[in-house]
Amino acid sequence: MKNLLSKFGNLSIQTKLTTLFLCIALNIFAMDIFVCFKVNNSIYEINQVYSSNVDTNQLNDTLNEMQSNLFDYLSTRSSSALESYYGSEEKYNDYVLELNDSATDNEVLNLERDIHYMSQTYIESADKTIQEKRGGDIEKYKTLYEKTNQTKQYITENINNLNNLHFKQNAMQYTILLGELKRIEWISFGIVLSAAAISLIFIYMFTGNLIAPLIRLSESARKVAGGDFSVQIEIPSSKDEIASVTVAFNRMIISIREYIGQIKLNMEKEKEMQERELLMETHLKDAQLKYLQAQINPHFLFNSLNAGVQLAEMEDAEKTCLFLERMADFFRYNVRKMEEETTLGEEVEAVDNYIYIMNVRFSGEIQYERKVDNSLFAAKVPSMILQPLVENALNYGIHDIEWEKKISLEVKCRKNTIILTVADNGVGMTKERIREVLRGKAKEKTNEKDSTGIGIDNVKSRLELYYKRENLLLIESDGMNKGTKITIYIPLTGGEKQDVSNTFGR
Amino acid sequence: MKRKRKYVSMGVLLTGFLLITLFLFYSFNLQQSAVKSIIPKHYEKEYVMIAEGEDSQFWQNVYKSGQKEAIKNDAYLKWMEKDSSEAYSMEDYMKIAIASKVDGIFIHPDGSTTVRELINQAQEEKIPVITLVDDDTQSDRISCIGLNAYQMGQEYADEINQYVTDKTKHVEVLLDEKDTANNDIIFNQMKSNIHTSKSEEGTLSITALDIAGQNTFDSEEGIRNVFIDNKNLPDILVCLSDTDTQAACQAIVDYNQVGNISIIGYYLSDTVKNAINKGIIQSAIVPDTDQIGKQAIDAMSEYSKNGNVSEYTSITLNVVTKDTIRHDTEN
Repeated sequence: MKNLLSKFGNLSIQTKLTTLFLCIALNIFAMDIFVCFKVNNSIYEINQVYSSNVDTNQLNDTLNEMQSNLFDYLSTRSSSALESYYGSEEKYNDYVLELNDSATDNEVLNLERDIHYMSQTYIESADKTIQEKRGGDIEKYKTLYEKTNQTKQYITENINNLNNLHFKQNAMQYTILLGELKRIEWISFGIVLSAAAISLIFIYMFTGNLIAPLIRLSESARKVAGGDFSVQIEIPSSKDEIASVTVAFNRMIISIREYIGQIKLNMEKEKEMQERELLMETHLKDAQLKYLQAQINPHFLFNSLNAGVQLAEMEDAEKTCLFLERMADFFRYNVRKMEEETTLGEEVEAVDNYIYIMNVRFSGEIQYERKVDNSLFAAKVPSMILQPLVENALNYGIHDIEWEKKISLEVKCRKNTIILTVADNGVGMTKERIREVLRGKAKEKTNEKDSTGIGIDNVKSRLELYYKRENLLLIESDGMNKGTKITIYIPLTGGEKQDVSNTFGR
Repeated sequence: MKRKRKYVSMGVLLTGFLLITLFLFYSFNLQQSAVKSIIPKHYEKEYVMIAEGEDSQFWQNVYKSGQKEAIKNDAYLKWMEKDSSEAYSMEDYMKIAIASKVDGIFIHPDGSTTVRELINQAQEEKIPVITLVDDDTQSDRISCIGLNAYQMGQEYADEINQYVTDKTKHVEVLLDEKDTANNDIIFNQMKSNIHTSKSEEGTLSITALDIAGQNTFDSEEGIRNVFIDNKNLPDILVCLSDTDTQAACQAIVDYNQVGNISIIGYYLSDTVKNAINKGIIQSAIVPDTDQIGKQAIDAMSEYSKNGNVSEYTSITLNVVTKDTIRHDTEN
């Protein structure tokens, strides 16, 4: 049995369903056949009920016919009457032979027995009558005819009794059979109902077994869609299509889990590498700075510049004084460690100082437009994010243009995002160039004299590290000589100060 | 939950199968029982009994005992009058029996010549005939199971003598039998043995009244006429048949003559038994009906086996009074 079930379980779903429906159809068909058979049987029996009366009536009719033919012959002596008599005698004899001829305890059968033997007596008597008639013995044949007639009356009486008995029995039988037919109708209804219930249960059980793995599969798929990759479905014992899908699904989940793990690992490695790269850059800058610092003592520089400021004040050289002050501020700001965070206000001030210094150098050629929201100045931002952009715009954007040089700085807030925009009307950038810059593939000439040495990709990386997000820096340009706009989007809530140096145990 | 659903489904399945099995079983049984006809038992021989008075308890008891004995001898006994819807005469029944080629006839002859001739015809047709209770010695019957008329007359006389007193004047004997020879013997025997000396001056008269008429209810009318005539009421009324005895019981009550007339009846039907208990009638001469039926069948069987049988078998006569009834009840 188990073997059979197992073999059935391994069949395809189409075969299983076809088998099930075939069984159900056969079941219903069998029940219908049964019901038809029973009902037809009952109807046949009901039709047969009064057949005994029909037979008895035929017996009586034949007897009358025989008597009538006898009378005709005795009256006319015609050969046709004699022939008719013999014909009816034979027919009557055939009927009589079918009757019971032994004593029983059954009233009907006893009547038949009496009729049987009385009929024999009658036939003998009738034959003798004809013989006497043919022999010409009038008295004898008349006497015999009387006797024959009387016997015929007795037989008729008995046939009538028999008919009545048959009728009574048949009426009872008819009523019983009608009742039986009614009961069979109810029984058939019950059987069909039971068969239908059984079929429904079978369908329910079978489809339940068939669908259960599908339901489990869909449930698991829903969990997977929700992000839960820890699901594992129990593989059904059958080897049908659902089992195949379940196995495949399980493998897919495992693969996805592994793939996700791999991606996570790769991302972590990539992040580690980015951090390391940044740290290395920082170290490099730091080293450069230290080198510079080693060349120039910052305190000596600041003090010297301050002394210069005082000297300029003493000589009423206001412009020189302002220039030197600005220089001092700028340098003071520039030598801070890049891992320090600063305020937006200080960043903007650094830009202002840088532009001033550059404008002095470039004889005021640079038109600087400043649109800033002072209320944002207190926001914490990574240091050196604006000045490198402005420097970039100056060095690459407007440095060699022949038309009026313009640089703008805009600081505003939109929906909890601080938007910092540095724009120029310089030579612009191609899309390819933008991509290179953002990927950090563009080789920046960090050793140029007018550069602070911090590239756009550095700013981008530090922003991403600080705010733990991507796409914080956007470079836009409409093409050659159409200017460039660099926008930084930073959340108003601030980010996380990155102590990149400590990661490498510095 | 899943397991519970599984068990419920299995339960419904099993119930469904069980119901279907029950229904199928019931439907097959139903069909069989509906068309089942009792299988008749076949017998080797068929005997008929011809005895007028199918309402008479006497003949019913004879028939019952005869039928029982017949079955033991692989024969079926049919009572012609009982099974016929037509009111045929005894001659008709004899003719029917002969035409039906029965294996034996038991008849309570009416003493007529026609019946006698028919008995002889039956014998010619190799159908043995046995007479019951009353005999027709002039016929070719093979045997008689009967009451000895002499013995019967003696028994009646003995019983009558119990009730004859010095005031008894008249004893009336009702004759309801067509067989006058038998009646004559009974009556004469009675008359010879009744002690007339007990009555005053020996003036006890013993008369026979023939109430047997042409029609069915003539005897009952005859009995009523006895009671209507107040002047000639008998002191003791003797009935020689159970029908007459029952009619006399009723008439004596209707005409308020209980205690005035002593009745000696024939056969212990329920009505007569009741009447004896109440003192309406004094006693009854009771032939053993079981013996009649049994002996008749045994005689026929013996004849059929051996080809001969005893000419006459006498049946025991009992006298039943109130005391004997009480005695039988206590036992």
